[in-house]
Amino acid sequence: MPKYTLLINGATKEVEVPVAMPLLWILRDELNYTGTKYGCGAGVCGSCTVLIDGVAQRSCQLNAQFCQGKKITTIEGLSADGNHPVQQAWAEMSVPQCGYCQSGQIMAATALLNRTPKPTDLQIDEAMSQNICRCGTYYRIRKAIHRASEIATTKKI
Amino acid sequence: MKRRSFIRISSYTAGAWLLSEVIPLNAFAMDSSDTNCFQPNPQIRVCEDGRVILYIIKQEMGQGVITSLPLILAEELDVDPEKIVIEGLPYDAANAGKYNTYASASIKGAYSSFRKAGATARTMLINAAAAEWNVNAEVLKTENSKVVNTLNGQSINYNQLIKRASALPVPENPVLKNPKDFKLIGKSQRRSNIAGIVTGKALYGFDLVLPDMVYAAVVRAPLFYGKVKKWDDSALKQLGPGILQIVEVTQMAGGVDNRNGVAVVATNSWLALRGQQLLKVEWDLGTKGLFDSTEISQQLKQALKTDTAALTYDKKGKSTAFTPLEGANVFRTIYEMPYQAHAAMEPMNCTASYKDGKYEIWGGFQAPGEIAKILPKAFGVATDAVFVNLLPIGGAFGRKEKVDNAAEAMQISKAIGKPVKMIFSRADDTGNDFYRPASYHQISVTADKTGITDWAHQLAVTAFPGKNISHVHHGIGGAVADLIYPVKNYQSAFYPIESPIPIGSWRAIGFSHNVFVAECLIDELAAKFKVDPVEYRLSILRQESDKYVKDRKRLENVLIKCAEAINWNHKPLAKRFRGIACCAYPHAQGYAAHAFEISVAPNNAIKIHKVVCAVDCGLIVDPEGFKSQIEGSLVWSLSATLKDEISLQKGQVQQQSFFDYDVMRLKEMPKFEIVIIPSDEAPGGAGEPAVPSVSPALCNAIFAATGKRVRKLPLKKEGYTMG
Ligand code: FES
Ligand code: FES
Repeated sequence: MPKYTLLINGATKEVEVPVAMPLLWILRDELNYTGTKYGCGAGVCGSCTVLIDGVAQRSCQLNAQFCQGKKITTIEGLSADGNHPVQQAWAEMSVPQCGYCQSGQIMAATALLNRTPKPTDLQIDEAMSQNICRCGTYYRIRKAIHRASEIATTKKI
Repeated sequence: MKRRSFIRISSYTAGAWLLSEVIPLNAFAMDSSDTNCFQPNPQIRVCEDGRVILYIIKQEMGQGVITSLPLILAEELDVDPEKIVIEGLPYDAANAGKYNTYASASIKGAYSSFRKAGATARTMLINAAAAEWNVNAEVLKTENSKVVNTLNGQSINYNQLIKRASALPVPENPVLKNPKDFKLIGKSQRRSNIAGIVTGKALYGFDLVLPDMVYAAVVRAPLFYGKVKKWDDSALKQLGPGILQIVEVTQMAGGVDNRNGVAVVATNSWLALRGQQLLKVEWDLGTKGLFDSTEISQQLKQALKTDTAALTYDKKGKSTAFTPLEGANVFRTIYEMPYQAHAAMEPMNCTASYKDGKYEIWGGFQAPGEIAKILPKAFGVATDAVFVNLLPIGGAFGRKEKVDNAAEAMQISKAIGKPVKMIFSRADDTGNDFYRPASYHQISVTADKTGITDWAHQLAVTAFPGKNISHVHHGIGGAVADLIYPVKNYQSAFYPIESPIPIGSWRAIGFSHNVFVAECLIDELAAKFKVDPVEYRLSILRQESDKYVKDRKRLENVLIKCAEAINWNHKPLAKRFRGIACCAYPHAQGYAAHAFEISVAPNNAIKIHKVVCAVDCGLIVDPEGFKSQIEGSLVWSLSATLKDEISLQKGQVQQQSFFDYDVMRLKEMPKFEIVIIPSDEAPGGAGEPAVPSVSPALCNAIFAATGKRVRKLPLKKEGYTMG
């Protein structure tokens, strides 16, 4: 099996895995980053969303080869203290219900705010509509993204 | 007078319900930190180290139980809710039914008992302080984990009173707080497990890792009655030594209802899932249930014509026969609804470890009581030879009442002699569900613009196993309770047909179809007699009835408030139309009404401009959590109304994943306003009452806009799209 060096949440990790093994399962089963969730394995639900060089990607659709040399951020690496503006906003707006989809939602929202610090409702709709939440937390996700944008701006000042 | 002994406990989590923050391996460890605690009631312990331990037996699955329940205790006990440590009551096979979480009943059931537990402890702590200071208890009050002397401001922390309080008699009827004085109940709170969720630390069954554990995925018979003939694993060689073993899984009866299959055991999840895809299994599909959806639909219709009803009801309850309504003045109408899947985001899974004749399992189960009832029998072991560790559930909605997943994991672990995590792929989850049944309704009524004389509801429904109508599909939410409107003569009848696929509880159970039918029909009658649909409902609801219908006033009220919020008495903008419907959900003491304002383009594209829900679930403990449930109910119900259906081809479920069992997305969600009716009534459940009235309200709006009645769901199949 080939060896890969991955940069995950700022730490270098060596893994020896089959070429076709998706990043999702490398994270979960090999490296014990279980915050990234399996929902469909087919790129349609968004539960497995992580950041690759700051951009939201579905980890069930990527392999280690593709990720080498890129910065991988999972929910565990979003902040040291759980106080990333998106995490704060998520708590303030009581977004999660069962919580299972929320790692993916939070990573997708973070990526959106990285490129669009003050998104409109329409931009939120476009960026977030590929992430399914079966509990139906959508209204709160929308509100929380606006709130996160506010928190991020005040933090910078 | 009851005596309470001074209890020394060690905080012990073996087998306890694990909080998301707790690493599951702690389940094996004993916390050796001993401390003195006082336990005035089996549900709580107040400890010298400052902790208040609350024992809860309900499962968290997204509905906020672990926020709401501590709040109730904190309120009566006057402690900071953050200080409350929640522990699951250790699983106890003999009392396992108490852990069951369904029917939106958790808060309803816990409300008075936790209030009483808190008040008991508070009274005893006050009495302890009174003895300590030698003053009259009447001059003492409590706040923030302290007893305070109102005369001189002297105060003492609860944890200094533990010993003394433990020695006091337990008051039989402690005085509860006046709801007017509530500081916590009814004020919004953060979910106490939010930190775990937003940092990815929350652990669900799917995330569990045990030492020495292996992984498995099962290739299941595509038909419920299918059997394994043989299999060929030669294609798995390419996956290398990570594929460990192939194990046959056999179908178990007695309420387990897993399918026959073949498990691929591997060193990680991905290999197990890849192996599952590559394994070739030859099936004996048998001859039973090889139907297409269109045939099921035909059978349902046919059953009404040719079968004798399996069960009939009149106003008083079960009756002996159903008498069809005949005559020129009879208004007859039909509705049809498809099978639905649960499609929770966390696919089914279970971890099991078999050792020395005993099974230990880990997973999210809504009904551990079912485990204790069903699994030991199925495996031929004693009740206490199956031990369950309950983990937080990534969405349940009724699916996780079942134990098929546990039986599979147990069989595999026994066969390989190792702990195993058995996971469902998304396709496994969609294709091996216990579905909301498909149903066909015919209702015959005689009515005029002043009210309804006869109401005869015939319901053909897919039943399982055999023609067994499980209690969730009639009685509660079924033929007796589906009609809250007073009528002179009431009849209903069931015509079960055998379902090729298993059925089970689905959020809002029988109400999800019966309320649809009743609320669309009322709307049809109002239109027929040219009466305003809100007025028509209200005038009937206000009539005398000899049928016992509880709290019709509360239903009237949500209807009125809902109509006001959508501005019912004023015309909408041009080309916009409105529809309304309501639902009484008696066993969770919830009442809801929905109204939609929509427009429909000539190509049948529906644009929803606004939705309103007025809801009365009694006193609300945690308003944000409550609103989350009402929002979730709308999302859930719109998915089913607009898009979803499970269909069959030769008995096999056709849908696999979210690409063919699509659900609502963020950008599709309409503007939504929730009107909460303030109430002092005991808290009801929030998860289900606001599900059923969504579909009829939308379909009634479609009628207002187009003059066409929707007779069949989902709307997508009837040619409607979302504009
Ligand atoms: S698990 Fe990757 S998109 Fe669903
Ligand atoms: S919070 Fe449960 S699926 Fe999104």
